[in-house]
Amino acid sequence: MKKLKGRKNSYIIIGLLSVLAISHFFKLSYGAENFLIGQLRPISSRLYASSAFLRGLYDRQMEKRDLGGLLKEMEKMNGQLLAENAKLKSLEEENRTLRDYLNFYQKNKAAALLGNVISRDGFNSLSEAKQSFVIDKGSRDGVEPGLAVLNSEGLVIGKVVSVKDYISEVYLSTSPNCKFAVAVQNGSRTSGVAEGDLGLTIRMKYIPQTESLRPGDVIVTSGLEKNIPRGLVIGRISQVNKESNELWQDAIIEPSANPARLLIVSVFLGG
Amino acid sequence: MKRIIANIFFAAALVMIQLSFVNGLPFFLSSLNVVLTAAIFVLVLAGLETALWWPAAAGVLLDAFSFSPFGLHTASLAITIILASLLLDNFFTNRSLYSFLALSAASLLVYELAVNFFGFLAHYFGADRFPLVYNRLFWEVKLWQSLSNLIFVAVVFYIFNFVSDKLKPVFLARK
Repeated sequence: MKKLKGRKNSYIIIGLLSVLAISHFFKLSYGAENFLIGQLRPISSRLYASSAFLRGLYDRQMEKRDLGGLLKEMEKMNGQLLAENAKLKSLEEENRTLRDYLNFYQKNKAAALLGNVISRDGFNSLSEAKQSFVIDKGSRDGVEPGLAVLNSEGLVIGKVVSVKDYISEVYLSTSPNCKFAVAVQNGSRTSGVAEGDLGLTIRMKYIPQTESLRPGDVIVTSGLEKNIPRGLVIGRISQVNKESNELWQDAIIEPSANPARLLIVSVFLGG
Repeated sequence: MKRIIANIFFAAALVMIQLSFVNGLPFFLSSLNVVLTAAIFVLVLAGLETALWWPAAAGVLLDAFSFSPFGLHTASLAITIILASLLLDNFFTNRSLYSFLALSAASLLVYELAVNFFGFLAHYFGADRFPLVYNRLFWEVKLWQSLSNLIFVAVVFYIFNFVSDKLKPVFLARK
């Protein structure tokens, strides 16, 4: 009798799952799914915040180990950045004046949308190489695939690849599946394609052999992609690989933004 | 009915914890699969008919929140639980730590195979644009994942044994 009841129960579950699958296929269950996601978003956001707090504690503990070396490096970099900042400020001033004179200046009306990170890829992602996270804004908020995602300092951390009504999946710039049309901020504005490399760095590819690149050069978006303006900072070149027998040279880019402790991101919706 | 509703709520809560809390932890901890572990415990303690509600609740919620093809997690969880039930009935019949670890390892393997198989099919038929990358990193991650999950199962087993007698061995003493 118990066995018969168990079998009946199994049939009910299989039937239920079949109904769910069919209704999803014909988009009948979208309303219910969206309602569920919409209701659970605030819980996800809070849970993720506590998880990120623990991750932050762990990271800080790990960082303390080589703090001495890091401090020296930072002091050196600080000096360089101060000099660079002074130079940039004078350039900015000059630029502003020129824009005023030529009547080019327009107030930047680019719209950005803030979103909470509610999940990172982990056990349930199909491939670790994906390196993604999920934010609580979706197509109903105006998010669409291909938009750039920035951190609070305006540095690029990834790109929206998939959207649902209330949530979106963002691939980190270090993911092999995330590609950006980029340019080097040097005299010749060398352009190429940047894509994630092993989930750790970014590799800029398809750079002609004739171009001259140096470690430390800043890489920005080139503006050749739809919805991504030019000039968003991706990182700095840390290494240039130039082989005389290759058609192209490539460069390793150190990403400027650290996505590990992100809680809130902004999606660049365009101008 | 009460038991089914309780299982559905428990599964849903664990999915939220898995997606938003566990996945955000540092590497070794982020590879824990608390949903699958809990489903295996439910299978051992309450039987297949209760455990089968887990794919229906946890799988569907995982699919709703994930961007992989719909049904991938539900189907993988259902297959894993059915196969784990067969293993439990025919091979790992005693409820010792070793049989629990073996059952969890086998379930993890089946789940991973199922997820990757369905993922491969989805990619092959064009439902997912991104190919699965089976490089060294992938296998290293899977290895650490298995280790962390087995440690987690052992810890949960001992905690459960401490608070309940359900998994303790029963000996018949001659008087």
